[in-house]
Amino acid sequence: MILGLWYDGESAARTEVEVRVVGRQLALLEIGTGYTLHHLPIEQLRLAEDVYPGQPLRLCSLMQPDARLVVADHSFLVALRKVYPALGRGRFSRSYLGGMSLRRRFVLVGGFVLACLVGLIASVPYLGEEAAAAMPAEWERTAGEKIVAYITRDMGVCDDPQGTEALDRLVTRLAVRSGHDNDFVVQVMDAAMVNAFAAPGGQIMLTRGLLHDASSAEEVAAVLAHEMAHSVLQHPTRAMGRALGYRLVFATLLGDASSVAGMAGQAGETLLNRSYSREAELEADRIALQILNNAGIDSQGLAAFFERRQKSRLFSGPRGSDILSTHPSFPARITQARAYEQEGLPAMHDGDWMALQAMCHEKY
Amino acid sequence: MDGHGNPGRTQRLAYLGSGMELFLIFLVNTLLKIVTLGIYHFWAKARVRRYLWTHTEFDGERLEYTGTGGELFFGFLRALAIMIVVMLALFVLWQLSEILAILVVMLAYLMSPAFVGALLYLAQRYRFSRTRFRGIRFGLQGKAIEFGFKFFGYGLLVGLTLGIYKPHMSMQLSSYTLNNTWFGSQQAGFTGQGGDLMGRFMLAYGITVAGIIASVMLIFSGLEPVLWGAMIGAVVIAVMLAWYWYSVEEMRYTVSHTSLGDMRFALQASHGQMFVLSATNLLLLVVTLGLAYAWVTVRTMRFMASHMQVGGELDYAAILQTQEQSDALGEGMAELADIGAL
Repeated sequence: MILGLWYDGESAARTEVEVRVVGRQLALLEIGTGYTLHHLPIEQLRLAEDVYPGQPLRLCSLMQPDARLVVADHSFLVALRKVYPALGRGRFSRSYLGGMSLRRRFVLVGGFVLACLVGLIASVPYLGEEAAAAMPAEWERTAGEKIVAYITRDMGVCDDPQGTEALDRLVTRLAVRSGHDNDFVVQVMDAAMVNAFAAPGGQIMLTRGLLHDASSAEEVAAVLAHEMAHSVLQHPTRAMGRALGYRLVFATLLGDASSVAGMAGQAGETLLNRSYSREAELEADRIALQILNNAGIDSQGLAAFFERRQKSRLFSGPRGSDILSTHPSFPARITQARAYEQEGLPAMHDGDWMALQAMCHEKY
Repeated sequence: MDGHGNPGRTQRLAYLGSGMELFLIFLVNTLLKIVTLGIYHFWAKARVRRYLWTHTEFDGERLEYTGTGGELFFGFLRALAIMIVVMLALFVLWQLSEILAILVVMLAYLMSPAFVGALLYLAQRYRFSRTRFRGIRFGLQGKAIEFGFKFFGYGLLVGLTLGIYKPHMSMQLSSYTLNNTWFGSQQAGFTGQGGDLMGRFMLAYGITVAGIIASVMLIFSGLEPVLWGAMIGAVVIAVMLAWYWYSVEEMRYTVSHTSLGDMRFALQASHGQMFVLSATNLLLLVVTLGLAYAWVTVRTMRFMASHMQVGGELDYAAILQTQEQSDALGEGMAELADIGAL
């Protein structure tokens, strides 16, 4: 005999009943007298809620949506399923979870979900990187322009016409001789720090500090070539895609979709302060030396720049956004630069070099 | 013992959930949220509520939550549509008269606490109408906008009285909410009054004022910075404890002045017990970086249920299904305004 509690949905009164499957109907019998109080078609029955281990079955009927039948004995579900096998099994309806112990479910479901989560967290940044690298050049350029505008929002850009002309000549010379499209946009940021970075879409920023610190135009050309190499290799775009992927994962993990929106600006901060991997830097150096050598420019400037910066850093101590903190200079880079470097022509004639160095002069 | 002669039946309310099960639900929800780019949020919320409700047992019968994720999602979409329409209307107004548009926006901004209050009330109404016990729905009557204006007006009074009106505000709001709460045809009641809490509130308030004065004096006392720093630290802890003590007092007062028919309630947890619960919960969350949230939720509910003394009986046969199902628009708006509760 299976007992249940019947609530008719009209009042909160509770009636203890005996439940019995009669054909395709469920009969509710009065305890003691055996008098049939109610008939319910079994196909119309649904679980009113998920059934966890140790919890009674709570059933409702499509015909009487307010009424509830509560049965503690889980074997009753087996009897009902003989008539209506889909009960508590639909994907979008309430389900029966009492068949497996919590511990077992915890290991199986929890393990599966954890594996999926780890897989997602590991693969989304990679997917983001690939997606960013594959996006149309137009978008890449727009993103790059936004990032540059964000980074230079306080400092401004030096736009002295003579200096700009000199810089453009150098860029064209470097790009065309190496067979790259000359779609680089190189600007000088009015900032005292010695730094340079590439944003997506061929956007490259040098700093006033870099121009003043350099002991020759060849050093500036080497740094510029290095950033152009990053750009050609799509390092900034890929870094942005990866960062976006990470953010997407963590924003959804924390359930906060709004933070994804504020990402564009922070992507700039990331570019300014992050460093690429050792392999990426070495690769960019290699391409940079190729660009310089193809253009016939003396490429000894790269190693010279590294060595000098390292020395001056030893004296001045570490600084915030220094080029050495974003472009770690390790012995391998100097060794490689020395191995590939060639003698060559000056990067620019003296007039251009002076114009370039004086580009931000009025701000002093 | 309660005044209705029910010896031996103090443990009528029980929470039967398990932290492990809830954690599993959180875990699955997280994965589904990521896969659906966050849209599963609404279904996740409904699932968690169903779990929490159905493991709350009273007199041998469990609560049931009948709300669905789809309902919440459509409530949210409707709220979004309304917001877009309002924005468009504002845009049109801006084209017609900039000053008028600015005035409207400023007025809306000033009145925003009233909206927040109204949304909280609507969301509560939705949750109540989706809660069933013995097949009978709960309900929240009253007008959301009335509650919103009370929320706004009393809030203003609290500001004008430098916070002293706070107990009155809490009791007035509880009174409005609880006197409008129904279980089927049975109305709940609340008889609490801010005046009863005033003495206790002023004690905590006085300790705070004394603490501020003492801190200022300590800073200018010429003592060693380390010494006065430590003493101010002690003062801050004393003030926080005073407010913790008051919040427990207010909670107990509110519970013991709430009724449902002949039923009365009392929270029988001492200050020490409550403090240990809060402190260990905080510690658990900090140590596990929030992963223990499921266990913290369950142990808090278990603690509250097991310390809630219920006296008196309900005439269940006389309680009829009278409450309507309200819609999820209010909760959708609350979600949009980022004040969505669990």
